Amino acid sequence: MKTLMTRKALSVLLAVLALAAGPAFGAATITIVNGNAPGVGFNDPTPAAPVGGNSGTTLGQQRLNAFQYAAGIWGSTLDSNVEIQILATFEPLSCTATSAVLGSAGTLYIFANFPSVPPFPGPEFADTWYHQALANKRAGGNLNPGFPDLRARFNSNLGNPGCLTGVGWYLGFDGNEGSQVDLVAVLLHEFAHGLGFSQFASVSTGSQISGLTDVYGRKIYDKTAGKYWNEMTNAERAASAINPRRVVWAGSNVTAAVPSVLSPGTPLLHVSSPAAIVGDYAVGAASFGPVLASPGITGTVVRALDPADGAGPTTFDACSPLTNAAAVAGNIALVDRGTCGFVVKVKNAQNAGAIAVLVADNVAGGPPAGLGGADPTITIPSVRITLADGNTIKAQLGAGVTATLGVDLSVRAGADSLNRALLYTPNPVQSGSTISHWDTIAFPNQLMEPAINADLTHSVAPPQDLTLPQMRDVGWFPDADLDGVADDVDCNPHSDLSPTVVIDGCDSGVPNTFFSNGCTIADLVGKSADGARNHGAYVSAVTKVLNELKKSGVITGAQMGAIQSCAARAAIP
Amino acid sequence: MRVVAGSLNPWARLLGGVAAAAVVLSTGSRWAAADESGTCTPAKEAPKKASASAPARQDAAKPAVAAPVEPAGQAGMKAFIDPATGQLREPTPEEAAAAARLTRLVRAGVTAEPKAVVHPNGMVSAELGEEYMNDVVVRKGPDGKLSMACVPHAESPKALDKPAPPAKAELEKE
Repeated sequence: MKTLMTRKALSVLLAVLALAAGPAFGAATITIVNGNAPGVGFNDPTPAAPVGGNSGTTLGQQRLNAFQYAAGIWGSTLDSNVEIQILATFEPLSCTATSAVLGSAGTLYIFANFPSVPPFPGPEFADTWYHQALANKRAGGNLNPGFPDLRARFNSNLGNPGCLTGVGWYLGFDGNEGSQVDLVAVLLHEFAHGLGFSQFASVSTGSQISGLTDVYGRKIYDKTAGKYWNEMTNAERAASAINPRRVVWAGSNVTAAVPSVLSPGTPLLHVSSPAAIVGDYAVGAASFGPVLASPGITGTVVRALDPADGAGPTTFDACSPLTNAAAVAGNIALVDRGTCGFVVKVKNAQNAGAIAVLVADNVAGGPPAGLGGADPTITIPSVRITLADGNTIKAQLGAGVTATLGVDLSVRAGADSLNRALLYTPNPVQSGSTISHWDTIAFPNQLMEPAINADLTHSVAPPQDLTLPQMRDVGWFPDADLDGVADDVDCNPHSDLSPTVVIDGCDSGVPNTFFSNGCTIADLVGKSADGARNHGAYVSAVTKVLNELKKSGVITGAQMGAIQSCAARAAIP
Repeated sequence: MRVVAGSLNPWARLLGGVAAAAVVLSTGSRWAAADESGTCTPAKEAPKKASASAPARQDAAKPAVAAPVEPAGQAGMKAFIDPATGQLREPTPEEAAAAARLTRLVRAGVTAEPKAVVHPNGMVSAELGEEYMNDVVVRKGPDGKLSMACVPHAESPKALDKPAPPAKAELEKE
């Protein structure tokens, strides 16, 4: 990469921070680079009727508009003074009649230990990979000129015969996709991966690229191991990747946003005795019967017994009427998954007098999925627990297991008790989905869950969504005037970045020096107007500021005079 | 921010139908609807959202947006559009190299294992292959409901033949 900018070159560019003209405004310029040949993809001339706010009149134009719309949402949300380029194509991708690859996107380059132009902060952490667009933002310059930041490919055949036949892209902006696929929602999700919502270690082996952690991994905390991913060995990371509901995002911005985004209430099984297994166990909710409530139902866990017969081959599957109804009555029945439907098992337990049902999975893995099925006559709650948790409870039944099945209102759906958002760490691992998404228990549904749900809005920020806070956590700090100083510590988040000090239309010709605290001379002079009772007081305040600048050698006496002259002529206040 | 470029470069047609177009759309907080005229205008440099000082902090030699795709059989024929003037011109060696890289990315993606490059200033960089990108796969269930999920790029073809990871609405019944 001969074109990579050196630290020296970057420093030269801003060695003298006399700034050029233009009002300051934040956000980022995201450019879609159309990589399609004429007549296809984004250039497809097929006439199309405007739809859902997309006024394009050809298929290609509508595709471009949808890309632009999604890029615009991110562009108006993140701040960077470096253009973000997305090399994009619509092209034929793998399909069957009932399934299809919709598309993909991601960062093309990653950087560590990159230089920055002061006051741009550079990397927050050494020896840590950053996505190119994020690295550029923090560098204050383009580290890799001429190379796009993200690559995006999307399926041009979607909806055609043999390619998810009849289900095509919805190219409107209003979320009324109906039975189609909302392109904007998919793009928002994929662009987020490329901008910072992804990590680069192998979820199967835990190995890292060149042994370096990444900025996302630094926020992944495993509650079982008591470690962040950057503190782990490869083996520990691989184990953490399949530690369901025990791995969280430990970023302060997301944690602060969780209460305003995620709903209160996490379904849990709390075991209160015996002491050896006291704790909370994850559950999968049923689609039938009453919803779990708070404070929940408490009882003794009793293993349900039924005949090993044609309905079910074991005495624990509850596929037939129970044979130990007297023991089950008034208690929480524990049954095994398998052979018959969940509603059959739960109904048999209900008929025996059970107050709730735990269905222990018969295959390893986690977190526990829900229980499907429908039976309006079922009136007791039921849940699925993992095979491992089921075995843990079964081993203690002799000691008497007391449990409460309900909703813990102190825990948000998709977070832990400390409001740290849960990351998706299913067992077995789902490379591609594992760790680089929120857990599917999140409610309301989130943009960055592994499944893109139909009820998503196009919002990427609270109170609807946690993605923007996650971007903040990896280093996309807010910077409204793009001066490289984060707004929360910026002397003036909306600095006057004119190249020279201009007061009320009078150009003093004095370079508008920028200071590392985020203010310019023009900002300091402008502040002099605050509270000035009259013009004389204003000019006096300006003079006081200029004297300080002159004393410190920032301006000369002649420059001070030029600014004073403009101030004197200004109609301020 | 308005759209700053059109589509087909007429020079491309003069060059034998080479796909020289590079549509550049810029977006941001001042995003506005795209130009629907369908007219073909040369690509221009995207307007900057940042103050005029910002470009000075960036690479001074902003690359021309070059044609990243050529139809089969016409490889090697490219048209370069000056980002400032919108006119066809010879690319600089750096621009040519950048365009070649774009072409390669568009055609086949990068599949090699990422290798870190340590630069003289201490910076480390790596180019990621497409295996680091996630494909979004959609599958239609027997009930007609769609389920979407992210899968690794290398696994997406086989993911089409099996159920996607369970969505919230799709639960096993036994």
